[in-house]
Amino acid sequence: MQRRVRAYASVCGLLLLGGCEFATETLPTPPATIVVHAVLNPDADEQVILVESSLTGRVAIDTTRRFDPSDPIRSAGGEPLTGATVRLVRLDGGSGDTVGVVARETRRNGEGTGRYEVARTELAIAPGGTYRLVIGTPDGRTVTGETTVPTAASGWTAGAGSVAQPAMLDRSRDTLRLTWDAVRGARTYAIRVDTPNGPWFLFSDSTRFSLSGALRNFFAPNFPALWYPGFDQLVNVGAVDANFYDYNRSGNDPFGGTGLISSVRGGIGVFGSLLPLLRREVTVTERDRFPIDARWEGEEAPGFPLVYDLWIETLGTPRSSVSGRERSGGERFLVGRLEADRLQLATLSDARGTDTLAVFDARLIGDTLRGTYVVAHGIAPRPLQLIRRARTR
Amino acid sequence: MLLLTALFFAAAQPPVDTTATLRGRVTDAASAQPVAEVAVTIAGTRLGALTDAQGRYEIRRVPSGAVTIVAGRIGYATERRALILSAGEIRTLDLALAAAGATLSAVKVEARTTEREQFTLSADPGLFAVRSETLKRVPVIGEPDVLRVVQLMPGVVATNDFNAGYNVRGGESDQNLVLLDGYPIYNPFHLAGLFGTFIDETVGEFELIPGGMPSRYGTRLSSVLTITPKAEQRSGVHGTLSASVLATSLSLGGRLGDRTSWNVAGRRTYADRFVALLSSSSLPYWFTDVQTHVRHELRNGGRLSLTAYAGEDVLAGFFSGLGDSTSAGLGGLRFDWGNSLIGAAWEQPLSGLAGGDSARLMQRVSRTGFGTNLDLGNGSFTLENRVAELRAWGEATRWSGRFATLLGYEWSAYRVTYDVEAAATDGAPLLAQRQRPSSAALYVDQTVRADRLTARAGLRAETVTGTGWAAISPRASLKWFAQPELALTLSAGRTTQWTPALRNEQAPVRLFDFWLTADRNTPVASAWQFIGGAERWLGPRRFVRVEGYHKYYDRLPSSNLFNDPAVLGDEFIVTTGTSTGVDVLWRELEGGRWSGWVAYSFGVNWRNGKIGSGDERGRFAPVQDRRHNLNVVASYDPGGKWRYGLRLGVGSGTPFTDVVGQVVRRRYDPVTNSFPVSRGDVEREPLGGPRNGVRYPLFQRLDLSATRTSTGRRTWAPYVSLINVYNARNVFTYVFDYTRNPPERSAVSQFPLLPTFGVSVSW
Repeated sequence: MQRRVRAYASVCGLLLLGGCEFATETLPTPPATIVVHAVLNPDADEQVILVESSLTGRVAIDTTRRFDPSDPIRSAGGEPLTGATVRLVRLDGGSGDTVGVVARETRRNGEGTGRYEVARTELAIAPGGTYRLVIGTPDGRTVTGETTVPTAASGWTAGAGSVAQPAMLDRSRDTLRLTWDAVRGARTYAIRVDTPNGPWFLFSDSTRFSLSGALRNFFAPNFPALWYPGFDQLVNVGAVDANFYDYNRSGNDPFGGTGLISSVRGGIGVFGSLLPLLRREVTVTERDRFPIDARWEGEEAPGFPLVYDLWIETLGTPRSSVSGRERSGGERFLVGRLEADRLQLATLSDARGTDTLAVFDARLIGDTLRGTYVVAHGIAPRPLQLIRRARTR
Repeated sequence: MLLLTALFFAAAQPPVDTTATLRGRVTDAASAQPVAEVAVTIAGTRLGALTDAQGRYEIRRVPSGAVTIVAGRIGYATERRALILSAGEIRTLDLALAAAGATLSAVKVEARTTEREQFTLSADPGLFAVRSETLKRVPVIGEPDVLRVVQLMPGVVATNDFNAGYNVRGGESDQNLVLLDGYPIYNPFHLAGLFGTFIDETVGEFELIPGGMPSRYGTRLSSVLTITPKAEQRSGVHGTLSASVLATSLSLGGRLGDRTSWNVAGRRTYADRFVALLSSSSLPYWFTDVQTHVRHELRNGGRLSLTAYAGEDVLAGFFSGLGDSTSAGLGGLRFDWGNSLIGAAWEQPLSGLAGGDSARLMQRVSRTGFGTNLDLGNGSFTLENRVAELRAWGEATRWSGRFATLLGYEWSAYRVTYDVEAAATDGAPLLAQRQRPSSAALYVDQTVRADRLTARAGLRAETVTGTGWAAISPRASLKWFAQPELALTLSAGRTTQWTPALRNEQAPVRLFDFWLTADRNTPVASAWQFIGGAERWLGPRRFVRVEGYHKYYDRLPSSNLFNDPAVLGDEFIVTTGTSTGVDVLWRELEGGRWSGWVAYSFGVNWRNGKIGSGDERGRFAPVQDRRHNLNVVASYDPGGKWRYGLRLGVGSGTPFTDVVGQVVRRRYDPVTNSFPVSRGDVEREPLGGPRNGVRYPLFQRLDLSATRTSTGRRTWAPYVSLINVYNARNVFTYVFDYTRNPPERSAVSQFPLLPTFGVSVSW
């Protein structure tokens, strides 16, 4: 983290000093490096291995695409390496198998995605097991890696660590305290919190961890709050091996391109493992402090009620951040801004902010929010009025 | 009527002038060079003047009759002359001052060492001394800066325009001992390394020893920079107020009686106040310096002095002011770093100690600190690094005939803390490192002068607690005069360092260093240096010097870019290395219309160590490996009110690590069992090629300056500087984009054409 801080500060210093860009020139295409991302998870129904090429300028990368989980490399600014032979082998199973299971490549629109998967029915990842990854590319290169999955406590069953237990957090006064049993073979423990601004995570060698309600997400720009009132946010704790830890704690510095710790040979990337230990689904609230902190009710269309629970997430001048939850539909969450009497509110598809489903642009007039409501994807806006009600919990 | 008429005419007549004017020139008795900043005063009055760069002075309205002229300056014996002046007379009185201690035939250590004295009396390789008036002649970025001038000296490399740090003869930038009045300062930089911390008006002179240090200097491998503060010689209170585009500074000085002088100075940038005045935006950055120096001459010839300094850079504000006001609830952001120093010294000359001709005792005590503190979001994330050194340093020097013997000790106690905390961690820090070592050194130097030969041999014995390390380092120098104006010098010795700095050498901007000390995991570094050179004087103010050197570094700590913050002891990897080169200096000292120097350096530097996260080792060039470096510094003083300065710098490119691709970083999500991208934010990182395997293109820059000085009751000196006059596009770093086909690289430039100006007024 302190290396990131220094690198971040150095980049800021560079920009602050006002260096002008000049003399843009084209470069020859350098040789590509194979990049691998694979994390074995005993709780998962399938193991996913991503194989791609480093960016060399060989192909122009489309940086405008929306992320597609079924095409995770190409839709996220990468160049997939398709047609590779990807095998997972258990080294300590006692079977003497050295070939392992060949992963299937996911295809989309008839072309390979660089995403390879092995189903649980083909190879169940066992806590404490040691596995080797072998990748053979069509051009004859080979990448290998090994990982040992942290050992689970006796009585472990697959999926137990991935069951989300509910928790409540009033961020104005509460602290979420987590404890878990120590795990043999774990290099450390990864604590991850999903937020609308991206994931927040830290590593901890301790088996206890506290997350205060006032915590900031210092991995996101402008360090927003970690907890958003109205949201259900997932908190995960997992035991990780040294490969996972080293890859995620390190990174190439922006100037020398050095610093990333890779756990694969013949390429770069990570072949590690994570054993889920606990998961919490935290419903976040806050005490009511401002006029907009209330329940707001109306009708999206006749017979279709619309109910919002809203909070001022961060009070600012002139603009405040707003968050909340839609109570009338499914699990949908709200983020927006309030400036003077104008409220702009977006309805998100999930607590991670993956997609915006609708936008409400309104003015606060006494106990009424009056404005227009636009559902995404080209539907015409229509008027919407919400009335303040007492919030029932 | 007649009486009234006489009275009227008497009243109408102008008053009779009963004063005289005294003017003249003060020179060095030995070299005939003019001596600047000599206080020439009229005893018993408040009249006086300081000599200018040409040694000239003028005092008006001197009472006619018998007066006593007193001329003095630190390092020189005070000269007194009795005169009788007539009313209306303009008298010219030239004075020649003898250096204090120059009556001793052996080497003297106490008095300021000029280049000529060092050539004549010392066996050591060449040092480079600069006086305050020279500091003001060099074109400036913002305002006169000691460290920017150091960068122009032979053997010294600056890696880029934005860095006031410097590398001496291939050494790393943390290998330079910086002493303010004999007390160490760890990080003498402001504004991301852009400026030095020394207020120019407080600087009397500074000198750089680029190698071959005598045994009295330790704790750094490569060089010693000593900055000597000014000492006010005139009665009354005098001062200088300066304003530049960067900061405003005020320096005051005076004397209390005949024996005590004092100086106090302060400086603050004001860009933040300026921006706040003109707009609703904020620029939450400023830096300040405060420095004071008091000196008291004892009746028995001794001296007591006290020096204190404090400086701080502060970046503080609220997130709401830096960006979107929806971040207002984040509270505050504070990032500060700075030095603090307080030291006291006692110096006492003696006569006939242990049968010798004369002797001197010196004792210093000081406390030096440097700290940095980062607080994001009112404690959400904090980082703190502090180093404090308590030092005691004492010497006894004895001169006897051709021999000078120096015996000394140095003891330091260090306290280093390095803490990283996050509010989420239930009070347990992410990193907590404490180091409490002490170091001790005993040293001896013996100098002997024969007719054409001067030799110095010394030993320095050192140890550091907690390291299991102790060593005796020899240091020797030999100077042979082939002719009275031509000397050949040889020097060899070992230096050591146990305070390495954590820094990423790849980063072109150096905010500051994180300091640690050697321990069981981090070794004490050492370097052997071998120097051979020749120096020839071509007149009283001109000399040429050529020095070749070879340095071998052993157990040199280098920042481990792969270090695990949860593991103590892996912050450094150990490297070895060599530096070999030659420095050529041609210098014209002040005194004529032209002064300045031409410095050319050629050097080859290598390091050997780990080059990846595994065990692979290799050889690479350090970032300061600028093979060819030329600096021309010239000042033209035609004798009127104007003075002009020039600096031309040309250097071959420094090495850097080329970027040979980019990699997309993907973070595993156990909930979705995938590697998603959050809200379109693709994380790309560069892939580096061979470490420092390529070089930037040639560097070149021409700077010009002009200063106009108007003397009177107050001396006004406005100045203007043009940096990079022909707007040379020197590459600072490159930005790569491998998402394009074909891939692209854009250069980011160093300073463009940059005018800067300021003014100072002195009284």
